[in-house]
Amino acid sequence: MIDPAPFYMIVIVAALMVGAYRMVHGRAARMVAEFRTETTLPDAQPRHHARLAAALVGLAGVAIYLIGLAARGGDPTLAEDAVWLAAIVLGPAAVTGLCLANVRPDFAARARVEYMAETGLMALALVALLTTVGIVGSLVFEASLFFRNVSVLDFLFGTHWSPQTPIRAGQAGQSGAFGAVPVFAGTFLVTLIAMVVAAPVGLMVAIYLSEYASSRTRAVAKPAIEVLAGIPSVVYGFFALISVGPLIRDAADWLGFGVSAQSALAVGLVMGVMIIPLVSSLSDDVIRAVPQSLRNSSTALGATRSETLKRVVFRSALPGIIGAFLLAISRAIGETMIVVMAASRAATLTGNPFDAVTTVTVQIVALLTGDQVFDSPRTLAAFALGLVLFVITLLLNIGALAVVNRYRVRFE
Amino acid sequence: MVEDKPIKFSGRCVSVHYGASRALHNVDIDIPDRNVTALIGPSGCGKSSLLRVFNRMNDVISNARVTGEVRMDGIDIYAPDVDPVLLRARVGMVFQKPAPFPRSVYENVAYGPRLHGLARTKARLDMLVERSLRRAGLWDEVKDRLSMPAPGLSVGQQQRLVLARSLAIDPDVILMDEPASSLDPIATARLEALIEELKTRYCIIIVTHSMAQAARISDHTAFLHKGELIEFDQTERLFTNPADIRTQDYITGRFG
Amino acid sequence: MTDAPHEKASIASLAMTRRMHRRRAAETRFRLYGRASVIFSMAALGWLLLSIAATGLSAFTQHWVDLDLDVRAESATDNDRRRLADALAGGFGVQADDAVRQELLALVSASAATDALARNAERSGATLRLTVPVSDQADQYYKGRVDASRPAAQRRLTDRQIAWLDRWADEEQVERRFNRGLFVNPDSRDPERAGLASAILGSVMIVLIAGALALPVGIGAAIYLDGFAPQTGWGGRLTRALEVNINNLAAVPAIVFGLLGLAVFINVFGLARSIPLVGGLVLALRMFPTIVIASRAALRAVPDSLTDSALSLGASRMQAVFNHKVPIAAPAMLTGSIIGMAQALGETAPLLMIGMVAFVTAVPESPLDPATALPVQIFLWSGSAEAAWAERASAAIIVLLAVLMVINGVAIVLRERLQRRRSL
Repeated sequence: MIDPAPFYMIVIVAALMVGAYRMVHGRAARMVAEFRTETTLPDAQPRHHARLAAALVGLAGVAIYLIGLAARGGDPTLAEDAVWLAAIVLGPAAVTGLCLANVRPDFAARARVEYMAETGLMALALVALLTTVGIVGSLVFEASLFFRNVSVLDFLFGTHWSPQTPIRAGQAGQSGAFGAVPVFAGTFLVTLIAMVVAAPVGLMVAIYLSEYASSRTRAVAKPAIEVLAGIPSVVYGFFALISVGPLIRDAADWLGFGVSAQSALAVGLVMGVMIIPLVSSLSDDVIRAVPQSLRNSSTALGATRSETLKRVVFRSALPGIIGAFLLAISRAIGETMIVVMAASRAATLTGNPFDAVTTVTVQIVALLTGDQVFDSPRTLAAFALGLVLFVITLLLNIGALAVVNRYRVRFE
Repeated sequence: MVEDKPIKFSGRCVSVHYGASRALHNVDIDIPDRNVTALIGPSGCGKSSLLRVFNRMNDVISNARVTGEVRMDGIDIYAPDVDPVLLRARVGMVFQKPAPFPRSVYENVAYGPRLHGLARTKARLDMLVERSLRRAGLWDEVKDRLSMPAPGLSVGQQQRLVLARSLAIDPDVILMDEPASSLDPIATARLEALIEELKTRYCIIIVTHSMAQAARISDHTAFLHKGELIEFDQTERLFTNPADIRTQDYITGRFG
Repeated sequence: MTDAPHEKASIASLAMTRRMHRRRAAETRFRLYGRASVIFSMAALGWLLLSIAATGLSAFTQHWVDLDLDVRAESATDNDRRRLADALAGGFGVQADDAVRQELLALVSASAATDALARNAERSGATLRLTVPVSDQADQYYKGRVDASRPAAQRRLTDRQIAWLDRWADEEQVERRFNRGLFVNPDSRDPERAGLASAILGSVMIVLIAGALALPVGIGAAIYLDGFAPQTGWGGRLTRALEVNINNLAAVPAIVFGLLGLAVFINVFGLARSIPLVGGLVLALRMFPTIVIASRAALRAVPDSLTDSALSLGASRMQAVFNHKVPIAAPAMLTGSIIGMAQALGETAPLLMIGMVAFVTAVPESPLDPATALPVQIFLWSGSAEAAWAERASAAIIVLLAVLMVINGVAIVLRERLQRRRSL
């Protein structure tokens, strides 16, 4: 069960806040009645004083509680300690007294409350920064531990990946080869197949639905594409595993050549289908952004609709479309569940789409699931792969944003 | 009312509907060749709709419906065997706001000839581009920067560029939809001088807001009001001696 | 002279007309590519849904068998499995040896039956009437998924077992029931007893925790960026950096958030693996950028004139934003947030990283108990080879997709409602 102590604390601080609000509000109301409204600043209404007091009391209570927790090494039974309990009640009480003393008609309470609120909101926005720092920090830190054992060059350019087998028998804790090239190659192959499917299909879906389709077709196809976008990747993984992979294997058997059920082709195809909605919605945005006047000009010059689309709309929207493709590639590279479920775990260096390949995300999952001691080279290798994954997707995203922004400037 | 010039377009009972609303109603009009015809009238009078009848640009609007008969050189341009794409190759159009493609000046002008296969060789294409730019009075300004992006030109230059783009497909007719409305007075003057030159080769139909402009450049003027053609006559006569009281009211500034 | 000679004159030169045929053909082709792409996408969706429905719908029912077990003779042994096998053998009137016992036990859910036997231990000495689920193999057979005409080596049931199962069916001892266990049981090693209770509860906790953290923080951050963040000077640069940062964060692969959770929440803060609290924290971080982006879009759609007029009447920035902008943007922000939560519900990879792949046979009671999540359960079940696991994984997918549909539907209805009310 959860320790109830933190909840007691929340209740105590909340009660103190309500008390402070009421007391200060009462005093300020009497003050206003006494001084008449004309002489009271609009910034010093009773509710402003009261809100300020409640906010300060809350802050003080939480601060004292956190200091207490830190001092006690995170012991949650703090509530049972009389000294801290007294501090948590008396501290805010002192703050309330201070606020009561400050209830004056010329005290701009509202500006102070709003300053506090604004600072609070800013802190929330900084969570984004904190997350990024956390990601970069943890990946870099863990990866650096890994690179103490395995050199960066061996990792990036080695062609043999087999983290599960020890180099020498009986060498506990040590484990095998960490040359990630086969893993990168597999990722690249699967991404390539996915993009071969998703790029043309997604683009043509966007074009067809916005330029050609009847409203009835649109009414059916648009929600279908949205459903495709809303299906979790674990479902696609299952689909690749039980339907597409076996189908391709059986089809190949029938044609007389052997193909693994875990072929890169099956995985890439399903991933491509998953990415179609992303490509089509991003392309749709950029195609719509091409001004109608350009299309009209082209039509008036005697272009057919497809000529206008190919020669004017595509060309004008090209940076945006490239940006969309970059984002789609980034998504494909980072996609995990499809490959974990339907691709191989063994790293083979191959360019053949009918072979089973592994990917960066598959290896991260393989290295980190199962009972392993943290800080072994295997688990650390996962962070090194994660770092590579993060850097590549980040570069792709930045590239995509840059291309798209340049494109925006051109039409504004 | 129309004298010796041959007739380019003749429209009979032309009506245009957008969905349920009627933009043009039973218009009969004969537009002479190698001449400037101005379409004037208050906003929403149907003058732009009429203009778009001549190159079937209304086809592009999904709920637009054109009825009646329109003949160009005697050929019914709304006949089922007439491809609007080929019609538009003979009827160029310049829009209110110039919309150069975001490509080079050269590519903009070469766009039409490439579409219609008008130039088999690069040399011929170069020739076509130069000729079109010269006719549009832009050659001297851009001949050294043919590869620069067209959107970088000034608005006045852009308007002449899109004119050159239309001329490059060698049309018989040029439709202009308020071509001067986004231009400053100097650029407007240049454009008007250009129209004066071009009318020796082309049939020009121009929609304009400015009665002064219509009076300056056109040979014939049509006045439209609430989707109907009120009066169509030689410009001089229409402005000095209008037959209809509504025309009179409009040109004297009583409404519109 | 208005009427030119009425012959079939062409509007364009012969060359151009001829060329036009090719151009029209290209137009038709292009259109066809478009239509083919749409058909491909919809066919893929159809195939996906159909294949999952085909494997999964049958898991919502299960076959149960009524057994009248004569356990008197066997009460000498305290081995429940053996007692059960012998009683089954008695029922079919066959001599029990080890091979027969093995095959007989594979017909019913042995664990369910022995549990029932143990519960009724004191009542031994009489004929026991038990109703238990049949085993996964038998269930698949009754559902028509075992082809008895194939050679015995290619199926898991022997000829003898099939004969026994047919006898149960003929004597109407077998009944097909709604599979309640799928919703109320936790995970199990036996497919016929495995359920989604732990996974569903785990998912609910994870999504609630993630939502409770990410919604206020995300919406607050969006309000700050939209209404208060400095736009000029150094502050402006920081604001823009923050925005780029959020956009990038939204596109960081989900699995990286899992690595973050593993390194920070588990290794640094020392929280336990496999618990919904950590899952919620990780998914909160994952949802946060999505919610900020959706909320910002909603806020940006509110015309500035509204806040400007409030400011001109002497309202403070805070009042202008919270009294005039936020209420109008609220429906869209809410919809974006709910859709973000739906995404979090389907998220799997980060949960794998923080150890939510453990085999959990207990229903979690608090966010600090080990649990699993619905999508993770799908992943776990799909890893086993038996048909019964695939059937259950498909059923879990159907449950997940149904929940997602409901959530998205609610989001859309809510948005329409709130918007309509506002426009009145």
